Amino acid sequence: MKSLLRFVREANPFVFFALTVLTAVSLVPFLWVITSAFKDNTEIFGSMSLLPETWQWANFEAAWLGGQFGRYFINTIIVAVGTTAISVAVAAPAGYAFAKTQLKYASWLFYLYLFGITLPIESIIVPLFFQVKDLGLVNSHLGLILALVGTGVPFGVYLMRSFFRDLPDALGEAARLDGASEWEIFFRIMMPLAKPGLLALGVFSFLGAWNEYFLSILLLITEDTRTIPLGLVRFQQTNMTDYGAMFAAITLAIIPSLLIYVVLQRQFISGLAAGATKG
Amino acid sequence: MNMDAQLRTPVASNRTRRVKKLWTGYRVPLILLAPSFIFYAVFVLLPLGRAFQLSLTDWNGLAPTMSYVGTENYTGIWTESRFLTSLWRNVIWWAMHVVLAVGSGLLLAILLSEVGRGRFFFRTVAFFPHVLSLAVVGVIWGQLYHPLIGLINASFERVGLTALTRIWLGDPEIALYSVGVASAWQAYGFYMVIFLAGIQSIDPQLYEAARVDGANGWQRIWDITIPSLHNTMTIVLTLAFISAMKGFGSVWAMTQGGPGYASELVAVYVWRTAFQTQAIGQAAAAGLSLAAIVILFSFLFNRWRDKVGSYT
Amino acid sequence: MISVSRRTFVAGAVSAPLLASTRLSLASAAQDGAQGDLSLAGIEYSYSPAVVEAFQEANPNLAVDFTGGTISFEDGQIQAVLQSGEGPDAVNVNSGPGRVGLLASSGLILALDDFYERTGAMETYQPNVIEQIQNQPPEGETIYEVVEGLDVFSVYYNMDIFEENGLEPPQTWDDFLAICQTLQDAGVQPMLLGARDNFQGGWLFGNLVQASAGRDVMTEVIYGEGDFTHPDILRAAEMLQTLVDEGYISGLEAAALEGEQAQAAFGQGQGAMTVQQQSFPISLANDGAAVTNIGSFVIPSLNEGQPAAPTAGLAHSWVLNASSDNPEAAEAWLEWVVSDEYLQIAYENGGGLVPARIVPEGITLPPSVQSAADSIEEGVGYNPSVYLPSAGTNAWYAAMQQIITGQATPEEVVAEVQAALEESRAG
Repeated sequence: MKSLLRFVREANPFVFFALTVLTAVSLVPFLWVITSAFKDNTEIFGSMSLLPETWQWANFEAAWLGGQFGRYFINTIIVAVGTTAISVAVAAPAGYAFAKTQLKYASWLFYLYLFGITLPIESIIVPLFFQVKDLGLVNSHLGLILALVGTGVPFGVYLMRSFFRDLPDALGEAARLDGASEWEIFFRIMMPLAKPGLLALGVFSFLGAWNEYFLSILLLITEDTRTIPLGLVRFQQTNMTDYGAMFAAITLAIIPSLLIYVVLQRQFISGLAAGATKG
Repeated sequence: MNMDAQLRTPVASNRTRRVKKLWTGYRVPLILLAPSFIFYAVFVLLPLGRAFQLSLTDWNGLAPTMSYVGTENYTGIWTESRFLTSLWRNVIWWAMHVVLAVGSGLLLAILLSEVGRGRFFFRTVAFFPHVLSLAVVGVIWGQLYHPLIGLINASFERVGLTALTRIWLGDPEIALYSVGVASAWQAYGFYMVIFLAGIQSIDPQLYEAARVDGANGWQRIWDITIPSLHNTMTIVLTLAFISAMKGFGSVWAMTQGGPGYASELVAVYVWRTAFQTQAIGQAAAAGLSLAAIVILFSFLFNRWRDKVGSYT
Repeated sequence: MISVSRRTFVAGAVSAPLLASTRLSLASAAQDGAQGDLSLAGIEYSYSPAVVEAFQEANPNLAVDFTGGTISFEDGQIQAVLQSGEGPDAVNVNSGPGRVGLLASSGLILALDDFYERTGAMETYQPNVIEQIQNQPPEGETIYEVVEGLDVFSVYYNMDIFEENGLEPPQTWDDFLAICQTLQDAGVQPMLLGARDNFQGGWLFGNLVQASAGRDVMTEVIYGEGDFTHPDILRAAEMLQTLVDEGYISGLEAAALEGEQAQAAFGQGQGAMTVQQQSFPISLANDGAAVTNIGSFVIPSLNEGQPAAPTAGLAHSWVLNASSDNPEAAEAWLEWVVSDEYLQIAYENGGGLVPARIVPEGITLPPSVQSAADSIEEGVGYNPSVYLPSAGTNAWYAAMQQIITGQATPEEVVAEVQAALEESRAG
């Protein structure tokens, strides 16, 4: 806060103005949603005042009873954490293999992965659904997780390859001379050094899975498996006229995301930045 | 027979030896690659093959039978104005995404790089929208645009600009743009972070030299920052292109492609055709056409950017 | 999953397991014969908890679970859940050939002919309902659904507003337009519409089609080879356009609002008329709406000598999941749905659908439901949203949205619907 005040004093007025406007654009919808969540319908329709006249906690009660936001939250965590863990575990070794080992036709195989990065998942949505169905995993979190890992693999491998490629070959060769096995080199030497890459991939996978909607509509069908985006859209569709409750539901849906972000923001930002500039 | 055996044995053992040698040589990379390839094959490559197969049929998604119809689905959609218009909307959508999301992201990053203090705060806040799902963003903006309670119209009325109020999502002339703004809102924090990282990796000596030469702020940005971001820009524009070609969540949550087809992007077209009209073959053909376009353009764009080369 | 045989692919191992449960006697199933788990899902009513609870009490050995209002056809979820091989044992879905017919032709739901014979439902259901559900694809002889109820659509109006402006329900289409004009001049929004989610827009457009074209023209379109470009259907599209052009309906706003939001606005007195189904007065009263003095009328026919008729359609139907692992319990549930007690509990708990069955002695229907039921007796038109095949339904909805937002002319939209119909007739 103090540094912010100092910023206000020191900054170039144009920069200050532009930043304030852009930040307000980010922030105002959140403020509006959250304050509206405490208003009743009359006030939502009638008044523009920022703060509610009387704080309607009942809206949150209605939202909490009308949707299972606790459940949605847990489901979203399951999907996001599961996808992240498996994605990293699967993509890191492959990225290493492309970067640091000799394999015939590796470049062709790599092109095949590159192709997958640009392939929009929308183009294979129907058969992808049937694939998950044939595995008996429709309406289970595992089905969604596996599908997300599968569709995310090309980017993950590509990203990890970039990180491993930047590590000096000399490290592996020295260890090999010391009699270390290939596995030891990978797990003991290379993996720890690729930590920023693992973090980057982790953040990308986590955000992607946390916000997933397209596949989830088809794969998570019943109320007990739904994630936050699905649950919120459904709540909105079934509570069209209780605006206060809807704003409360939106608030319940966004608070976990914001909290997770604020707590992990250093990792988020550096992971995203590293990932994107490497990728 | 004896001859046969004599002839065969060396060959066989030769092959075994070769396989063995291959295996010892490639065992490690193959084991490392295997899990990722299995996932990729099962959830992308096989469905892709199946999508192609389905695109040549008239399957309705449910019936036990389907007929082979050749390229009928492809000729059908490529002569259908609804599909072609949805493709054109993706182009508009992409342009909006570049101007609004990438543009604001770049602007923010440059502004932030100009300030010493307060950067952390602004960066944190500007990134807020990106931690939300596009579907959640769609729900929020659906309310902002709401004809009865929406903040946007209410604000215009409040400051006396009643002439600017619109039925943002009901008016077919502007529904697509309304949804595009919401999507850009969700994305610009992401591009900002990438641009910031790109700016931070620029050699400070370049700026120092420019300062010695007496360059002002604008010149520094124009002559050093922007050209130095060549590679970052390539990545960002590729990402923006891919994500703009997808565009589903926010549209689905706000307009479902309506009114009529006014905000129908290709991804929404695919969804409606597959799950509402039950024309799976046609939907598969549309999806694969989109895929071909995205892949081709990403490839050509990156080739071109590499040729143009980077500044540094 | 896909094997290729010459020019025909065979998709999916959708061999419908046949229901071998005719041995269950009616008594044992309805009492405590059913065991295990029974999961139900689909459209939910105000009375759903009550009927589920009563069923649970009658079947103590069964663990009944009902998930309401959470699965939608439009997102592809019903199809997905049934195809997943799991999913609920019985689902309450939107009726009609575009929905139930589609599921039936893919073997995802079970045929119920034996059920109808065994339970006597063939006799207790309205003959016209039986006729409709029998004459659906795929083979047009087999029944696949138990209809929960019907909906009848007509114009509902705020009687206080009408009285203040000295208005009476219209006798002709010109009367109707004059009423709208009077209201508009008085600063009242003549009609409220929420068409973003399609349904209400389809009801209104359906009312206009009935007023302009009548039942026989639509019978040809739906069951025969009739053209949707028929001049009288085109005229209905023009009528819709007129209502929008004159500002009697705020088209753009309607495209941005959900049906439910328009209903609520009517309940707050923000408009004079709206097209709704018979349950509307009941749900307004339940919501404690400010407007309580409501009347209804039917849009007058434009064809000399033809009586005005509301439109109607099967509302929702229960279907049995072909891959249910407890078909006995699911059938026991259906037996409950067709019982007299079920109907009784439904109307005691705010039920508003028109009964699909012949109403037994001793059950009184709410007034608006009774008059809707009477109008079915007298003859009603189709609600096209229910009776068009699925490709046609989507084109029909898009047509409605395009007209109210001025994106296409009546000629263009009827041609689009016709094209979709031809495609689905060919396929």
